Amino acid sequence: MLFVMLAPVLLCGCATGSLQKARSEFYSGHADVAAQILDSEDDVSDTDALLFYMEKGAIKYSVGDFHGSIKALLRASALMEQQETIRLSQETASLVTSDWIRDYKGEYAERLWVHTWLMLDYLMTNAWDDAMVEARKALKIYDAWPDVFKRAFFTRAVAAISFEAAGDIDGAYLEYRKLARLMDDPAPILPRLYALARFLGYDDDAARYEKELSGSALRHADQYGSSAEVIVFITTGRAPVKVARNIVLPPSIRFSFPAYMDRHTVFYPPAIYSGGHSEGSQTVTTNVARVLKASLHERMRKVLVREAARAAAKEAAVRQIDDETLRAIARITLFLLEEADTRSWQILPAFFTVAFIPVAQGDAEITLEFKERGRISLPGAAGPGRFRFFAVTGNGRLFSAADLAGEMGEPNREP
Amino acid sequence: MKFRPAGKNRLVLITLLGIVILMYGCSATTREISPDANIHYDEAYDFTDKKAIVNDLVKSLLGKPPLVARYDRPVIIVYGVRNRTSEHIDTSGITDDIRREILQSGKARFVNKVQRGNIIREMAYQYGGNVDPATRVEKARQIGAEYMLTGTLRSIEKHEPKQWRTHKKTLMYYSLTLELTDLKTGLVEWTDSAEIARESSKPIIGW
Repeated sequence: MLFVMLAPVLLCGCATGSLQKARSEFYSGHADVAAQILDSEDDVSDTDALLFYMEKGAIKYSVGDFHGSIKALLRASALMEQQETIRLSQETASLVTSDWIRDYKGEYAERLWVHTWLMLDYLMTNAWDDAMVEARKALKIYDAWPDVFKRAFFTRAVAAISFEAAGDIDGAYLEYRKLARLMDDPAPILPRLYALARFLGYDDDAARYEKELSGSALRHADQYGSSAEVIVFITTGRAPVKVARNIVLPPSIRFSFPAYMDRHTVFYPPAIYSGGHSEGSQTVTTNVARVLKASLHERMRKVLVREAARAAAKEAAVRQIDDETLRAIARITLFLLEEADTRSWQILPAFFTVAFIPVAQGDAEITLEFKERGRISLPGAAGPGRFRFFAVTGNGRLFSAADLAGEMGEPNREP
Repeated sequence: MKFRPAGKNRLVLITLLGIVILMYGCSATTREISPDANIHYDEAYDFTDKKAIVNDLVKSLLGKPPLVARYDRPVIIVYGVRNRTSEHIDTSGITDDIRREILQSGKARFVNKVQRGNIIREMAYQYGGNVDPATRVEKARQIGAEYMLTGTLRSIEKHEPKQWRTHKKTLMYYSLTLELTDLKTGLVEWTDSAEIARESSKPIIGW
């Protein structure tokens, strides 16, 4: 009986080895090597499969392999759907061992960011309709846990951009409006709301937004539909990781549950210059740690109920042992082996930011100045279509969707 | 004489039976099925839906004005079907099948929009000095389209509300609307839609 309880814990206590190696290479600045390690991995354990594809998708994005990222994250998305079925065998076994033997299902926030990253991948590969499909999936997750995602501004902004790029301006307007209601200061979204309201003929709404806009913001908003815009997706820092926290009930019961530990807490927004001036640009940022903690908090009740059930099941099993000495050894062993499931998506950034940069006629250069990364220049005026997308990844690399124009789909359409 | 294995033998028999059942259950099998078969594993869009949609819409397009009364094989250009569903569906498969059916009927012709870039590249090569002028394709002789075919694929998905149960049901509705637009007048000369609705049930608990 003891062996049955211990074996899965001993065998499954660690994340897949290749995943650890890839993370290590990524944090050492060798993202390309990290991507290659995960490419060569054929045999992924079922319990860590979702985590593997999440990490692979994020690493592929960071090296500009957006198609590779799409492939990995679509696998993750399919797994998330399959995991809606509760596996009785795993649930039963985890009651007498630990949560490490269960398939990792991802926190609610991590599932949202699978679709978020897919939106980014599709926008960067000019696949507007596919970006909109992912936007819809992301919005379903918002609806399932609205309190958890109150501060997940970035994903909703990208969903709205996906609708805009695909030509669904009504859909985009609805999402920007929901976003403005959730933000403490909706100023970054007001110019877009004003522009879209005017475009759609919602004059009352447009008049309301106009009162709160300044001269330059109004000027740019008036040009919506005829002027170009650069949109930059920026990832910075490192998301928190899970650690085990313990509560001990003497003499021999230990509850171990996961909690997030911050790795990067300070956000320095980039300074944005278009044609030498900084007016008109807006940014929307999500603090990933806040959303992850809210997500775990939402799940914590279930975690604690399972912990209590496991403690009771283990105590009942130990009491079956007649020999006093063996019983004591069993209690001590189980006490020491009780370990919280601290698996998490570690390549997530600490902050997701989207920057909206209107491009005036003749603007030659757009520059982003980061406190920690220095200056990054973007090629200036937009090409065909209204939007030109760029990605500045966590390892400081810059990618342009225009470089891929013509490879997939058509350039984004005029609204 | 009745066969009643003793205790130990019974255990061996049950174990052997279990192994046989497991081996049978775990063996992989392959079989061919007809592309016309009506098989659905879940509520999502599949190849059976594509065939049904294409059949309905081709029948409508060929059987109604303007194509029904035209015998001069007007030229159509396909500008694609927008995907407004919550699934990644390759809608070019739908338009490719529709184009094939109409071409084979002989009622209309199609501009090859996808190959325009390659055509230009090939022309540039032919006029680049390497090709016998007598065999070069004449420039500016492409046929202009008279009609444009476009469409939108939409879906509505409904799940059963959260409650205690053993199965979760999902309702899925798809609708593909196509329209044929006269490029000269800008008028929609034909439009029709095909619909599919399905309900699926998935167990909430599995092994």
